[in-house]
Amino acid sequence: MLCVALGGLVVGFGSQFNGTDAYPDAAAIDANYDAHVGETVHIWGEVTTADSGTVVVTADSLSLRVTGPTAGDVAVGDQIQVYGRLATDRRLIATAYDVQSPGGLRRMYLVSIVGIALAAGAFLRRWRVDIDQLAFVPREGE
Amino acid sequence: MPDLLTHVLIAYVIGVAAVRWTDTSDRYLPAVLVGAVAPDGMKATVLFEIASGTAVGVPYSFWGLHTLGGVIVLSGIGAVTLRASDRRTGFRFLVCGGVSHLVLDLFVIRVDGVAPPYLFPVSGWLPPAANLYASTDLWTIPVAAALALSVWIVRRRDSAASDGQ
Repeated sequence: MLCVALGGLVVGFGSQFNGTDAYPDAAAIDANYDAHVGETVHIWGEVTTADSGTVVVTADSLSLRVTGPTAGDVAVGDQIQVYGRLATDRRLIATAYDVQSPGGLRRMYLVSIVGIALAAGAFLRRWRVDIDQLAFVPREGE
Repeated sequence: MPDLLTHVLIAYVIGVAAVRWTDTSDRYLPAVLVGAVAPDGMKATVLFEIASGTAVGVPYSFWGLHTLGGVIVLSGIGAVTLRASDRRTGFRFLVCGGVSHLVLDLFVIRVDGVAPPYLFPVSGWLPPAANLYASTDLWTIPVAAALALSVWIVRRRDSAASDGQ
């Protein structure tokens, strides 16, 4: 029953929020770009070009020339979230953006592994697996 | 999210407060830490770039697990792995950790100023984002570690004092 509930959450959330402001659908914008010109969007993508004067952000199949961050602010391979307005010729006029470098993300994952180990270690210090009950039981003395 | 180390350190602080206020055995404290990690289990699907999409015509999103509903169901699954007499209390402490995770995630930078619908499936409301830190900001770790360490020291001193009586 819990697993069914899990599946329900995954599908229910997808039905309600895929392609919305919360989880924008870059592929849908790409499929019919002209219909979306003038809209305010929030795109999560990767910097694929960062030359002087041109910053291109790619999300799924959608590539946009972004005005706002300059080549000095970003590097190819950075993850970026951009908020702004779609303009003609696949341009995005950014009003706000936030950049995360691949190195920063790698550090975040490494530190997170330490966090997982800490939680698992703390739990296993107080609980052990009981084979007969096939369950975690408190260690002796509790 | 801030990184999971920050989540776990803050969960420790909250867990200490929770076992103290509810006068519960210390053994449930680590359940808060585990609960605080659980919502990010779905991040594995982000790494494999399958977090959301459409499969056989059905839209899906594993972000659905990174919500209040996800916390409750994942905590239920976690609680079932405990022996029967510990499940009810274990469940509460797992949920406590999961909720602390979602609350900390409200402070993550979202350039549109809006956080995801963490109350799903109860509500589709998009809460305002507090925009305090990015997931890759590491300054949250020393802050959380200082808090956790202070609580740990006070707790040790208290238990030493009560042992001495």
